[in-house]
Amino acid sequence: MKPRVAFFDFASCEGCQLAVINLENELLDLVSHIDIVNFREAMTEASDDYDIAFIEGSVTREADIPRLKKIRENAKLVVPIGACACTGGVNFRKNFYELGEIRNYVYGESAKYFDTFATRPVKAVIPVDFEIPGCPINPKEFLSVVKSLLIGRKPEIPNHPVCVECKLAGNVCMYDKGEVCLGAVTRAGCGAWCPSNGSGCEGCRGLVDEPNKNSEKEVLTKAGLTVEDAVQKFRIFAGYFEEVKK
Amino acid sequence: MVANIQEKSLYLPKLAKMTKKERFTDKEMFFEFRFDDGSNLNHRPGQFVELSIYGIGEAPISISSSPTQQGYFELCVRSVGRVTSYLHNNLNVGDYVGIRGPFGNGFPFEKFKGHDMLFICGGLGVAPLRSLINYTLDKTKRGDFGKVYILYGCKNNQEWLYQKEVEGWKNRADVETYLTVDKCTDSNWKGNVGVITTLIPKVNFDVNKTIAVICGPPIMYKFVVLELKNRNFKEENIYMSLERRMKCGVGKCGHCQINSVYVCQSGPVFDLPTVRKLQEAI
Amino acid sequence: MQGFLLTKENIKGLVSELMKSYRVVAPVKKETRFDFCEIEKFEDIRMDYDTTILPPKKHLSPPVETLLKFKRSENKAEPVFDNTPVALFGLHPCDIKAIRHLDQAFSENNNYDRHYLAKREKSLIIGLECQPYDYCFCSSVGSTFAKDGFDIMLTPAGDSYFAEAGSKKGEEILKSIQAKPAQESDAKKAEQFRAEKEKKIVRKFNKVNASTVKELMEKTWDHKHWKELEERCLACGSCNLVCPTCFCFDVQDDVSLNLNDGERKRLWDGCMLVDFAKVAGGENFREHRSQRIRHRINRKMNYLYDRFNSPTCVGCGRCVRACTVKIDPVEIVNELSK
Ligand SMILES: Cc1cc2nc3c(=O)[nH]c(=O)nc-3n(C[C@H](O)[C@H](O)[C@H](O)COP(=O)(O)OP(=O)(O)OC[C@H]3O[C@@H](n4cnc5c(N)ncnc54)[C@H](O)[C@@H]3O)c2cc1C
Ligand code: SF4
Ligand code: SF4
Ligand code: SF4
Ligand code: SF4
Ligand code: SF4
Ligand code: FES
Repeated sequence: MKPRVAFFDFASCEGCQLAVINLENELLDLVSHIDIVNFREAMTEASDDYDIAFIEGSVTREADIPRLKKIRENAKLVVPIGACACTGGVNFRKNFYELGEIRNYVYGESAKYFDTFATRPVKAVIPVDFEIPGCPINPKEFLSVVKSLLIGRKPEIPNHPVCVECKLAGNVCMYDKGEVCLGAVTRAGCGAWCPSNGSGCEGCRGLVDEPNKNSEKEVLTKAGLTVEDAVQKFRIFAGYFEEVKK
Repeated sequence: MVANIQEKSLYLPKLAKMTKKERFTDKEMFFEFRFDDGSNLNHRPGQFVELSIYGIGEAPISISSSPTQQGYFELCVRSVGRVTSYLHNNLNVGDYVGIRGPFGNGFPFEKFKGHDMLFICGGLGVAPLRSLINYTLDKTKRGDFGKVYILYGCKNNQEWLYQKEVEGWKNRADVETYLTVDKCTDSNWKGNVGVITTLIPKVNFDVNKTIAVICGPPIMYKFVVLELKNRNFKEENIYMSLERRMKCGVGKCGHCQINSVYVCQSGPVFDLPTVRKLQEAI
Repeated sequence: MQGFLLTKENIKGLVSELMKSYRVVAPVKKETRFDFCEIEKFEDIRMDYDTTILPPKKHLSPPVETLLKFKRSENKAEPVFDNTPVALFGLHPCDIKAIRHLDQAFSENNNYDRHYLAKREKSLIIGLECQPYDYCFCSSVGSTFAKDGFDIMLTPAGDSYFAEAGSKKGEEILKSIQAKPAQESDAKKAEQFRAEKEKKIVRKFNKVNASTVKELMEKTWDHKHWKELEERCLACGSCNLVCPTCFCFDVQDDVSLNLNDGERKRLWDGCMLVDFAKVAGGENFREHRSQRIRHRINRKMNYLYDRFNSPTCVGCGRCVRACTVKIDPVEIVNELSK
């Protein structure tokens, strides 16, 4: 029987689902191997019977918790996709401000109607099987994870930094052009998307294991950023990681 | 540069058919494989193969059977990742895998002739040592060796590998078998409890004519060596099989390097004096 | 072997001659840097390049290389050999020596890696004598001049180039473009160019040289400097990936969307990366960055010495250039020998 796949979204821009939908041709091939039963962006009817649940978005409300637990009960595999779902993503930045402050900033007057609480990634609420990081996710990597799952292979998200893919691509390093880049401490898998397109890595895929944060901060400050800028740069996407909270 | 070598890939495996599959524990399974053409692996005890599954990957696995067992070879595999879990969960008797090798040096058993043998196996370390144990105990070879002592330790009572065979060793008059568990999880267990080093003082071997062969998790080596040294064991009579990450098995990929040696070429078996010269070895 | 004198026009002729039967790879400008790329026309070549982002190795052992093509359903695989003839044009002496190291690495232990060697045997190497730039230190590791390992070697001699053939193939090519035999004075000019180059190399090992650096490494295993590097290094692997003498690789399988056809590939890997020596069960045999740097520098200066009869490092300086925290083999060696 074809595995049944469902997509869910929490607090996010839905950019990751779009990234998947943009895989048109590949999706057609994929659809001959899977049944998509729940995909808010692409179809309307929903089903509770699925094997693989891809989850987009971060957890921002009390009400998200029972919904996630339900998904965990139904699915054999739970795979958060995108920075929001894996690390809290850009949404995580609000944790560095007072909650009231951010609520007013984001929602203005109507703030009191929203039960928003400290943003957290999916894995902070339910156990997850794999994660596909990135903002948005790299469609190629998404495909390769799906292919892995379909042939019964453990998917693998690289544990080396973006610099590796950047070097394999033969790019001129951003620092050589007098610009900054977080590639050395950011988990690869995007094919060094940003440096290959002329801008520094913002760290959207989260930190590698054992990042040397102090040394990277020094690199950033040497390149002209103030310490405060450097910390901000880390926080954009990597807020969830213990190393940065410190 | 050397020209005129046949247009052959070092990385192309030969197919072998799974002919037995048996569960040992939650994590470990036993497999028997045969080549369709009936040929033998022609390995030495202590060598390993690269086991290959197209689309999944490759993993180095010790050959667990003795070369005296002809027409097939056996592996004992722990499920830890892509290749090993696929082998456990998705492949069955009748399915094919790719095999490259045998690789590595294997044990210098010619040098062991005429000696007593002390085998010290920790956990999955029994897999490669079983090849040499069964070689030593084979009726055509038994005369080449003196006394045989087998020390085998597991984390707990659920983790025994080759349980039936271990029983067989225990029942043989010409073998002294000592077993231990780090932690007792079976109320019927009457054997030793404690790490493997606690067995060494119990064995009455003659350090002048005994060869010790060790294989187990990385942390075990240092302590076993210390304990053997306490018993005045000669360094040159201590052999061990080391694990390293390996990708190619043919001395190219660099993953298995310890200081200046490639474990897949000069190892995985080393004597202690050699290990002492390699700062990163144990 | 006899020398020739090639004018700029002759060089152009040489390149167009090569383009008839080879994929010609040469240094070209890439934003603020240079890189070895396949050229379409002679004018793209930058004879004045300092160093390239990636070494010419990338055209003999590409960053990602297919080893096998397989079909899962049939359990069938075929090896893939790419032996399109490639001419590597404009290699500096350090890079020429580095390729000698690769040749050995891929053919030693009686294990011949045909995926590399098939390509290599069809390749042609045209060297170009150089001037040191800010990062290189070839004289400390014995790679300042190339005595062999090239088919043709070009050395600037006034407005022209003094050309020597290093192989039969090279000689035939030089003859086929009707290059003019060089005069004694041309050879002198080339000699002078080389002498000046040697004088200009400022980055050097202070107390050791190409043959004694090995002993230094052996004596400094426990030196405190390794720990100091732990603080700085990001473990990003850039130093490995840009090195002409790093040849370690990872192997990965890819399947296509039909889930049946696929490829087994090798990818450049680096010993500075955290997973390089990690095994199942969680043991990492070089857990600390300091251990990994010590491994890398030893591998460059010591470990392979007996096999290669020289340090493996050829002093090209790419690793320092690529390192955002400027970890530098010369500084390390000098610190260790203090
Ligand atoms: C000489 C030798 C003999 C071995 N004999 C046996 C044996 O008899 N039985 C057995 O079960 N295992 C044995 N191993 C260990 C076995 O090779 C690894 O468990 C296996 O490679 C993991 O592959 P995987 O694809 O399942 O895991 P992966 O998905 O590749 O990785 C899972 C984990 O395994 C580690 N790993 C990856 N590749 C290797 C590698 N080449 N070596 C070690 N760890 C690795 C990774 O760090 C990761 O943490 C042996 C290893 C060596 C070097
Ligand atoms: S541009 Fe960024 S990712 Fe690329 S090498 Fe430089 S620091 Fe690393
Ligand atoms: S380069 Fe960095 S910011 Fe850009 S996609 Fe990759 S991880 Fe994200
Ligand atoms: S290292 Fe030596 S050979 Fe290489 S570019 Fe510099 S000066 Fe030239
Ligand atoms: S030495 Fe430099 S380039 Fe190499 S891993 Fe460390 S930080 Fe990266
Ligand atoms: S170690 Fe550095 S200087 Fe030496 S060959 Fe490699 S990149 Fe060049
Ligand atoms: S496993 Fe590749 S070099 Fe040893």
